[in-house]
This record gives sequence, C-alpha cells and structure tokens, in this order.
Amino acid sequence: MRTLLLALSLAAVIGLIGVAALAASRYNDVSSLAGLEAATRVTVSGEIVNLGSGDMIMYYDGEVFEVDARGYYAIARNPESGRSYVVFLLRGNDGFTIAALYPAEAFIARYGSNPIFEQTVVVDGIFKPSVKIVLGEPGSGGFEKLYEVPVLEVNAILKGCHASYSQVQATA
Amino acid sequence: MRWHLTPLIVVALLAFDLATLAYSVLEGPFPITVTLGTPMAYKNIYIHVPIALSTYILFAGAAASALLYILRGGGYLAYTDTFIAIGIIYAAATLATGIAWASESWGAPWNWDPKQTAVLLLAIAYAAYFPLKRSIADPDRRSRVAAAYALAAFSMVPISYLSSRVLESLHPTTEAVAEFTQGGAGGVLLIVRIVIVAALTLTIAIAAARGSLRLSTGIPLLYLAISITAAIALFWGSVGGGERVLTAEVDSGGRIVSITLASGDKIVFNEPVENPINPPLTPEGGSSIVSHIVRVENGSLKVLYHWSTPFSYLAHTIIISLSLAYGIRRGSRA
Repeated sequence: MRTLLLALSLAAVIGLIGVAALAASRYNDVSSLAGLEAATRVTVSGEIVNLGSGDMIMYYDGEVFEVDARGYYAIARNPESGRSYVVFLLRGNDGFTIAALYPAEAFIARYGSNPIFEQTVVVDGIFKPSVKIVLGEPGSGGFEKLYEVPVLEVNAILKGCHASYSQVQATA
Repeated sequence: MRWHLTPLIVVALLAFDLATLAYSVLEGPFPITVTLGTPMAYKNIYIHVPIALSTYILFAGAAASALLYILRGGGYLAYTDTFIAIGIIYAAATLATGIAWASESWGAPWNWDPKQTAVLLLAIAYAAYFPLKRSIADPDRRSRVAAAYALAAFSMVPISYLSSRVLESLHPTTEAVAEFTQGGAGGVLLIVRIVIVAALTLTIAIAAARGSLRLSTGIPLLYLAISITAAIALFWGSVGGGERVLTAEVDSGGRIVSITLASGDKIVFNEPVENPINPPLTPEGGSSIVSHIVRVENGSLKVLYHWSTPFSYLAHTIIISLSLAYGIRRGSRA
C-alpha cells in the first residue's frame, strides 16, 4: 500500500510538471504582440476575422490596393505595381488585431483558389508594428475605414488553413 | 504462446516489417495537397505513427507490470525493465522522426509544440528510471521504488496523448489521422504498419523480458544490412538536388506545360510532360505537382523524397535492431 501511495504521489508530481510545461509551450496569442516596438519574427495564434464579401480598398506601403473580400480572407491587388497579397486579420484574446499578408501567387499555388480557414490560425512571420494597413470600403460618402492594424508578413501558415489529412490521397 | 516458436515469429515479423516499410515508402499514398512543405513528406506517417503508438504501448506495458509487481510481487519487474528500456529507444525515435518531419511540414524542426514538448517530457521521465533504480542499494527497496516510479511516469502518457487535442497544436489529433485511414488505400496501409510494428515490438519486448529471445546475434545485423541496402536502393538519386514547384501550367489533359520553381526559374517543356503524381489534378483543378520537390531528368519530371523519409526509415530499422540486440543479450544471460 505504501508503494502504491508513493506511486500515486509521484504520478501527481510528474503529471503536474508535465501539465505546467505544456501550458508554457502554448502558442503566443496575437495579443502578446501589442507591446512590441521593433520588427520581430514571431509565431502566433489568433482568431480569424470575417471580412465579409465584396469590394474593399487597402492602403499599404504607400500603395492603394483593390481588395476582393472572400469571407475569412481577401485578395488585394495593385494593378499599377502588380503586387498582390492574400490578407487575413487575426484577433487576439484582448481584441488586439493584426493583418497577415501572404504573397498571393505563392498562397494560391499552395492552397488553391478556395482555401478553407479554421477559426484559429497559427502563423509564422515577421511582425512589423510600425507598418500598418488601412482597410475599408468605398462608400457613397467616400472611403469608410474599417481596420487600421499592424502587419505581419507571413512566412508560413502553420495551422488553420486547409486541413491536410482530410485530402484526397495521391501516389507518385 | 509457445515461447520456443518466438525466434520464428520474430523473423517472420521482421520480414513483414521490412516488406511493408519498403512498400509504404515506395507506393504509400500521401495527401494530394498539404498545408506546408512537400506532400511526399507525409510518407513519414507510415513510419512515425507506428513508432509513436508502439512507444505508448510499451510504456502502458511497463505501468501494468509495475502495478502487478506492487500488488503481487514476483518477477513482473523484469517486464517493467524491458518495456522501459525498449520504450526509451522508441521514444527517442518518435522524437527524432517527428523533428525530421516537422522540419518540412511545420516549417521548423523544433517549435515547442505541445505534442513535441510532451513527448520530450515523456522520454525524460522514463530516462530517469534506470539511474533512479541504480541509485538505491537495498534490493527490496530498489524494486519497490522502481515499480512506483514506473507506474507514476505513466501519468505522462495520457498527457502526451491528449496534448494535441486539449492545447492548440500543429500536431494532428488522433481523429485527423483516423480521417486519413478512411480516405483510401493509405489508411489500410497505415493500419497494417501499426499492427505489424506493434506486434513486432511487443513480441521482442515480452520475449526479452522472459529471456526467451534466443536468436543469433547475426539476425539484427542481417536485418540492418538488408534495411540499409533497401534504403540505398529506394532512395538513391531520389533525395536532394531538387527544387520546389511553386506553380504549374497544365493542358486540358492535366499534362504539365510549364513549372515555376521556388528560385523563380520557369521551365517550359517543348512537349507537355506527364505529371508523375496520380491524380494529376487537385479537386480544385490545379496541378498536383505544386509544392513537390522535383528534378528535370531527360525532359521529364522526377519527384524527389524529402530527406526526412529516408532518415525515418533508417531510424525505424535501427531501433528494431537495437531492441533485438537488447532482447538477445537478455536471452543469453537467462
């Protein structure tokens, strides 16, 4: 009996250490970026924001982009410069929101033209707190600003876009 | 089980293991499109998942035998020792093959992902077992403390198993893997691999604990030699030196007209070439060659393996060989 009690006590200690370590290994929430001042490489998790659908306008890096909003993401194109991005907004627990920008050609090559986003998305990339996008709608009374948020240039979407295991299988 | 048949059963399982391992790497299906990296890296599922599940089975066996020792005494602790010794080898291989795969499919080898962290903690918890046991001089106390610790360390198994379900994790959940098993031939192959690896592992571990694994020491060496030869044959010229396909233009028949590589180079084929991936088109209508690592050879496209697959292949065969060697050594002492 004493040995069993020892085992249970040890199990509780090991289990607590495990749970504590795992809790510490969670992805940083987008809200943790609010205090950053310099450009930093980060991996963060956030709730994706529904942008609705239709035409929008985005101001970014001194250029004006025509935006086609498609629910949880939008495609922003500047016909003059030829630059295009897939844009999606990620919101943290405290409401702090960032705009994730992914080069459109690479995004479509990887995820196709109908990507599926999950509610929570984990991205890796360069967060630039001083660089912001302004996203809004062209209205009859002029431009109506909806979001002005800092930019994260995405290297990779680690989780939350296109669940790979439920895909059709292929062979080589 | 008639334990004098053990060597025959082990040799038969080793042959099945090698055959299904080679087949799964060569012909095993993979998802047609993936979130990150090359879809070919998902061939690791046939190696990494069976090793990981066998690790859990070994540690469950260690906990069960430790509990039996605490309740009844007797020789159950020999099973605990053996299951943990082989389990540590498997846990290390689970970590190593997971890290190799993550380097491609998660974008970085180590992400402090809850699942990665949990398996690391699991391995550390069990790695402390033998030093702890050796540190106690009194044989009776040593056995009781060792059994208690083996039972306690099992608390990390459910934590590790549930970590990707409870916490936000890059690692797919068991349900996600189950979806894959319902998706066609790949699922059947994965289940066959899991059953064979688990059966081989358990047979070696139980026979080792009983001291009945009386095989020639040449068997693990022969298994390793065949494995390495097969690995060279399978992967020679199929790893390294390629480039990732960023975009592809296809004709109406799904044949590839041109590809743009990650370096920005565009290759236009004089005649459209057959897509080496079957099916050639994704459900969205794009070319299934996108994201693969390829090399142009004699005017056609060759799809290359990511290095993590041969690495995991070798890791698998090395841990089986080590487990066999450990079992044979125990058998020769018995």
